[in-house]
Amino acid sequence: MEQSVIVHEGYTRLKKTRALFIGGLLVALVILIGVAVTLGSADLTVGESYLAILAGLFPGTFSAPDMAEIIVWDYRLHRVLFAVAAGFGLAVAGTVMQGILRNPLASPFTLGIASAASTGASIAIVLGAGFVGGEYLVIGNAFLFTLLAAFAIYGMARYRGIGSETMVLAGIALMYLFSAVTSLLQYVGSAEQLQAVVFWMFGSVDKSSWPKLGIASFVLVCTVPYLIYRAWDLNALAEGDEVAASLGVPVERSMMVMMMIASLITAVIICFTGTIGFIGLVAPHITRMAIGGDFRTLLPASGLVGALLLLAADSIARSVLAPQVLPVGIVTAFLGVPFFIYLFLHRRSA
Amino acid sequence: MSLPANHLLCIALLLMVVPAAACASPVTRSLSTAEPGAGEVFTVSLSIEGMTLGGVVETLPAGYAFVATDLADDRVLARGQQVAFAVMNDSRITYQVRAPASGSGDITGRWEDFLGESDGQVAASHVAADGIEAPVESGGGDPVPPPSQETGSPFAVLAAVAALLLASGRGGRR
Amino acid sequence: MNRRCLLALALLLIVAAQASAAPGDGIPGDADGDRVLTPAEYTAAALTYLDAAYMGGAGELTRTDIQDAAWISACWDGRPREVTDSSGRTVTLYRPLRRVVTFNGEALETLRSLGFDMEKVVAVDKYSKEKSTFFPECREKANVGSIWSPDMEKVLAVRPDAVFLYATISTAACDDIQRKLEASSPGIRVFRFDCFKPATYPREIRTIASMAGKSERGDEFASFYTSTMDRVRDGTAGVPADERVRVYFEYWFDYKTVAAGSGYNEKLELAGGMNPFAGETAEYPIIDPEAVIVTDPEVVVKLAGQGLAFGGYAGHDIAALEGIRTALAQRPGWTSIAAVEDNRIYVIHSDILGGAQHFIGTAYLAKWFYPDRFADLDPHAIHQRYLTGFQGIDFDLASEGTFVYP
Repeated sequence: MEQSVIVHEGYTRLKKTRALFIGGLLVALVILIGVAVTLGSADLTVGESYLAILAGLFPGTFSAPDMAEIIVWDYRLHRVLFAVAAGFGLAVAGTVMQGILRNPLASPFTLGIASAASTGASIAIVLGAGFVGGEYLVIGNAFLFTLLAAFAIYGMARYRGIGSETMVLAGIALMYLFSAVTSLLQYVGSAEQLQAVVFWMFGSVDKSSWPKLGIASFVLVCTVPYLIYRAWDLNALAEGDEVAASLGVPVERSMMVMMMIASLITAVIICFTGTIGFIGLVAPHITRMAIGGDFRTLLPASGLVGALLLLAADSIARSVLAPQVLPVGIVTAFLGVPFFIYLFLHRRSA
Repeated sequence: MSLPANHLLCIALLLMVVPAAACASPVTRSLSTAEPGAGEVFTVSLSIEGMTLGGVVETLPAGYAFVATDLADDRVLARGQQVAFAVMNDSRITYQVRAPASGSGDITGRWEDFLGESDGQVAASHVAADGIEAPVESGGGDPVPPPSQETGSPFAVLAAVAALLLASGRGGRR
Repeated sequence: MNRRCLLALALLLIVAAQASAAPGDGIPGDADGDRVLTPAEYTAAALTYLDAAYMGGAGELTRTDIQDAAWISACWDGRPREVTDSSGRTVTLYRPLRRVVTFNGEALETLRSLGFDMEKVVAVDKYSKEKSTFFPECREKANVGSIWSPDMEKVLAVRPDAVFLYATISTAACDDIQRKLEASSPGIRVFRFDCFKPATYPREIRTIASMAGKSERGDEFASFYTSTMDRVRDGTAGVPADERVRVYFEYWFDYKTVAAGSGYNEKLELAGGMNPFAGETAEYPIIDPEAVIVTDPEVVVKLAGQGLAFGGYAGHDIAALEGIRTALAQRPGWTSIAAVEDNRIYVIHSDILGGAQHFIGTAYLAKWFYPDRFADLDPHAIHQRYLTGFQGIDFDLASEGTFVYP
């Protein structure tokens, strides 16, 4: 009797911790958004930035200096919100990947997705060839090549039997293939094209715009609720394929669907930003350390952590070398370092 | 043309009274006479150098009236005591002014060079009907105080006394 | 009586004129809105302005408006100026340029050659800002970053009316900047000019001169430029294809040469040289050292500059260039090359071979390739005249800067 009481008490405490954690994350996110909007090289005071936001939302009641409104609405706001959406999406995708591959070091890019996107972008930049013309040439290529990789994984896994090992192996093979193609294109391209490809691969939020934010948000709004709805399947999968099957989870189908959704989210984000690494790897880890591995709360919480991380990284990227803007992917890469050192030092048991 | 000693003295006093003109001014003014008779029409000459497209606004002292100018009508705007000239590649603009029965003051001016994007003042030119200095005030409606008042009354008083002596010497010339 | 009637009429006309001379798109002072500022309209506008400024009258023209009107009347003959930039886009200018931002250092240099008032350039790219010897007046100007990493907020903060970008290079990045600017601030005009390509430069000089109201100086500078390039072209015209001088052109890095598609190859060929590696696929191919010996070039030209940072405007470092040359001659197997035997190894700085000064470098190349044909060509004098006569900077080639060796 006492044991179940202890367990019950422990569980209540855990639920409270989770609620507090998520609540705290939301508050921190709102604060950070508020700070990030005031960053920039135009001389706007904090008050002017907020006034500009209000003036844009309620044009009748508030009015801000003309330049302030243009700068905040056309250059800053969508960038900040895009960083939030991208961070959220990448973290959720990373969490799902870690779940279905049962590997805490998995990320959205483990299955060769990043390499595929880079190849798509390189083909667009160097060869000028692509599926969608004009402004969306690179974006379209990156997106479609990411999906191509996802389908290739699916195809290879079906052939050899779907399981986490087969998917990882297939992913590694694809990664090497796409990297080789990218390198060849970089070599063949002109100096300027090479620079463009490398820049793209750094990953940055520079190219965000309101329509792109809309597309990314739309995909997130459609997929994330479904993932949370099926989070229990991920919990089951974490215990092992046989256990999951015995709990009634359609293992193969679940894994495939989850993988495709995670790839879709990753694709729609990195086609706009380039390959931003480490968010999808680090965010789920941090969250798991705080509130445990229950995917029902892990998914949204790590999404929030990812959003916070990417927004913080972007704010740093915009400020550290002002007026130059560092690609945010470089800052997130540096983020990985202390994280792995921490893991390395504190690893006691598996 | 040799000037009588009286006139020379007046001009010398005048020069003491009027401060030095701004060196960079492209517009300089000269009067046909600084002491017109009562009701006499005298000529004011603006010589313009180094300014192709611009404007000059002249302000006449109270009582003095703008009569005519050699510039085309569409390039002149006269209102009250002020006359505006639109300068277009002119090197010299002349206009006529009628002196009142009595009264004195400074003709002041502002110039603006539109192409050169600069502006400034035209050095003031003092004028007195019959050489008689009016006891109070100067040109009407001009926001810039006439320079003569700045340099101090002793000179003005001296000039007035000298002019009075000369005028009385000349006798009642109409 | 007549005088008073005329004055009243004039006043009435002026009042009517100022009612229709509303600010906005259009030439200031253009009363009837027919996009032409006749002398009469200008005079009326000038009087309206003087009235408002000094005589207590009412008028809407500001000082800037009348200055612009005077400028347009004098330089553009009272008409708006249509400008077609190097991307083929036509923009109509109703006002002179007052606040210019240049991302393109070559366009900035061209503006200066044309005598454009550098005070009106309010922000420059970071590379031009760093060239303190060549662009001393840009040290204090705002920095808008580079084409690949532009500081868009700074561009907006300086409130420009014109932004200069490249036309045919970095097109994706330039298109991006153009798109962002035109979406958020339609009042900012974007102009795409290269200002470093022999094929398009003369036309660009004249177009920019027309925009800046410096057509005479533009013609003078364009003639100066074309006379040099034509002299080179004419001098090499008679050389048959198989008698062209074989040239090995080395970029900043060892064994990196240039091929077709690279600007340096174009200038090399303009100067009458034959590049045996022109047909390679990459723009800057790295080639097998043996291939150089096999082709046996008659002249070797080495590029100094960014990757090999000696000389140029920033340094007077003849010893360094000499060192480069000696090192080249001493490469293994090179003693058998004709260029080494005839002592025809030259070092040239990218400052005068790339960019807006490429005509100076091309002249040097021509003189090196065909010394007999170009005995009377003096690239040094051309360079000095460019610096003193057109750029207006105080730079004495005899004592400052190193651009060529020997």
